[in-house]
Amino acid sequence: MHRLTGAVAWVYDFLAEDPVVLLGTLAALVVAVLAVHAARSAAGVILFAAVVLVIAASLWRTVLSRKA
Amino acid sequence: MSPSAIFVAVSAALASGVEFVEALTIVLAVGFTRSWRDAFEGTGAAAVALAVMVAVIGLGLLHLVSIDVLRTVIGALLLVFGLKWLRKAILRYTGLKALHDEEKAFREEQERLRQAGTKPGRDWFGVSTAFNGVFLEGLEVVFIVIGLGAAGKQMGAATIGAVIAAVIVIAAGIALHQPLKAVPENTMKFVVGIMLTSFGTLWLGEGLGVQWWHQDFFIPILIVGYLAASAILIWWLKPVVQRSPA
Repeated sequence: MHRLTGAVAWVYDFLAEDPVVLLGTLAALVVAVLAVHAARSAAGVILFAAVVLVIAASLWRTVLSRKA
Repeated sequence: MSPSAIFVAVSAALASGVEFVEALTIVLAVGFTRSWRDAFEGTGAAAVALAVMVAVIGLGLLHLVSIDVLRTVIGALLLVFGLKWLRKAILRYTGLKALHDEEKAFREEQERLRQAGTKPGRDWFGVSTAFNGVFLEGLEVVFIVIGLGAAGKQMGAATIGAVIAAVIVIAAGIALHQPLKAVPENTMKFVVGIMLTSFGTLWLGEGLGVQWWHQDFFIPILIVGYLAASAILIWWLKPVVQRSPA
């Protein structure tokens, strides 16, 4: 169990290092799937905007944690 | 060479270059502190292990997994990975994170190697330190080369980019005999972050059914878009960081 937790933590650090980046990308993926079905021509722009929001949210969270 | 192959090769070269510079610091520390034989043996073993990984996983993915699935999965992974690099580079530009200091890393690694002491017989500590350093830094290179190469069907361009970076860093290491502290690592990491995020967005979108304007030629537009967004974020955060207490 300890090894499994260690392996998951290593993969998380290797890939993302930040929960907002990881969960935000998942949310952007869901948004893109919905956009492809609802407004295919605008889906690319929506995906791009979602990704920019993810990076902005992650950076803002870091600033807030520093202030705290 | 197509425009997307050039972007893939440049991205792979920059990403690999940054990681090779960090690996070189560890190899030099082992060489100067323990022995050059240990440094070269550890480096050689790690290089072989990484090359086998690229060949087996990269070619396996290309032959066994459909391109749509590959682009969706690798696109998502590259996007997360690219955002990690981009986030860290922006944090360093705004002063929220300290810049990576190769000289300091070199001194710390040398101190760690000295404190470990020596044992009679073969010095496996030096070999394993060089192996771990090169292998762990190289894993990120493998991930990027396979990601860019497999999803873009540009494995050759990605590999060439990584090999060119390796040759340049090794040649500079041999010529200078010291860590490459003058390399603008944060700028390189920022550019790589932008490139990986752009490729990740393009391929994830394609995998999900997004129809990009002129398909692969949309990459430069995404790159410019993320550059502009990053510049705005840095401009927005810098004063906020400077106003807040350290």
